[in-house]
Amino acid sequence: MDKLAFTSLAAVQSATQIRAQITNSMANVSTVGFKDSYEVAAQAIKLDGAGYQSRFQPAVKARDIISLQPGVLTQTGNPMDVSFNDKTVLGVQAADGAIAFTRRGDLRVTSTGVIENAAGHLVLGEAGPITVPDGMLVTISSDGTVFAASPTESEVPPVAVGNLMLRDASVTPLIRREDGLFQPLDIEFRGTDFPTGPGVASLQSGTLEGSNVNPIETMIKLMDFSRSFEAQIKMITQTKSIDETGSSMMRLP
Amino acid sequence: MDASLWIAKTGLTAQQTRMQVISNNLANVNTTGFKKDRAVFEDLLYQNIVPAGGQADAENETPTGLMLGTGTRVVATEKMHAQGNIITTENALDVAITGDGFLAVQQTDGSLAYTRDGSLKLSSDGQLVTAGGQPIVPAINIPQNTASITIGRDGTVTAELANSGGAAQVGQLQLSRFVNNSGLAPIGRNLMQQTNASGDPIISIPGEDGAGMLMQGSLEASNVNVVEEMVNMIETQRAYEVNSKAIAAADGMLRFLNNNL
Repeated sequence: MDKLAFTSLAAVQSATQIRAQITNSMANVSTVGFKDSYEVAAQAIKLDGAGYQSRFQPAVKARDIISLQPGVLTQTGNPMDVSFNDKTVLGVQAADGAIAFTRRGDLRVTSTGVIENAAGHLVLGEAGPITVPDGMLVTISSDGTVFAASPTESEVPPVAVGNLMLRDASVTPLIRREDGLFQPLDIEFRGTDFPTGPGVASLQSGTLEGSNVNPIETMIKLMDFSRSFEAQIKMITQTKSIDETGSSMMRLP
Repeated sequence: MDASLWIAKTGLTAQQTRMQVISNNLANVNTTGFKKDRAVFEDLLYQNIVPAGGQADAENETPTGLMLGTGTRVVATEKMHAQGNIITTENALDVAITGDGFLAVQQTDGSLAYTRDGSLKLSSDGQLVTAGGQPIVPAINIPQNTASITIGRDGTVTAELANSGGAAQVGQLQLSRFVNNSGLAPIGRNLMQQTNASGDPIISIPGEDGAGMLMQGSLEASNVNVVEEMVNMIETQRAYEVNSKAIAAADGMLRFLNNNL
């Protein structure tokens, strides 16, 4: 069998995974605070063996660092909906108890009075989870301080009940966890807090950040994949017909 | 089969659910005391293909890992308890709640449900009931010879008796508040039920301890914003299209494969 077929096969296989990843971004086009992460480049691997030095198989080199490009902001007017500015991330407690980070800003107060996000992750403050006194109105200032105000006694100034764990991740590369939350790439800081970067970690109350997936870009990538897939399959069909011609020549009349 | 087919399918399902939520909001644009829902999206679990920091060879570590996503889902629908517009109806038995709080009503099985719909009625024996016929808790009975009813901002119900019989205070409406309003379970008929997520009701007199005030002669309209829902609908429709395009692309590739190999 011609080795060309295997080179084409390698191209098709490497594309399958990339396409699955792109489809995942597309499926999450409406997820609050979703961040695209996948960047890919094909690398040619030279295969030595019989024949000319012409066998280069593609291998996927993936880079799975979270891209903190901003998503689309929507005004909701809800004081518990926050969007994070620049490269700010919010610390939450993952299901396994580790500290992880997220860009989801749809916060709420649970029946026990602690703040969590809509995906059910417990939001962390600088001194552990933030508890809001019963029935108080919550406002969040741009530096992440959570204030609780009495809805009836307007002359009483709002009380600060905690500071959200906001971190600037402009110099800390983040990667994804299995549950979709972010963690620092540096093994030393995995599952824990990381030192905040030089930027100012801040948020904006009353808005929600959508997904940062660019649907147009993803669609064009998909079209590209479809066509290059067809080209690879054509190559395989070509090898098939070359092989067939070869074997028919050797057939006894 | 192809993984991307199934990933795109999760996108379609989630957008479909979101469309249902939007349609329900739009259908209830004229429902008194209705609170709009919002679909909450979440990305699904990731498959760890290459762990970050794994050994690439004897000396080097892979600098970044590779996590393969598996799609999205709607994890919850969240009620948005923003105040709806107040509409003046001039009907003595219509009360709007301005601020936080719910009127408690008794269901047929004896359990309590909570409503923002203040279009109250009188039952045949003179008890205050909701438009659906459930009695308000605490029960308030209006005497038969009542000429007019006044409901104060603090919930005091006063009956002005006919034939200059004077005024009599017949009861006081109470409001129930919850720590987490979004945790209440909507059960239809403008009613909601307390759950573990909402916490226990905090019963207070209207206007005190953070509870809202009552406004007689008004109703609270639905808080659905039609323009917002329309924009959401367009967004949902386009997101649905993008995902179905992904399915079409994967399908086209498989068809090409089947036809040509």
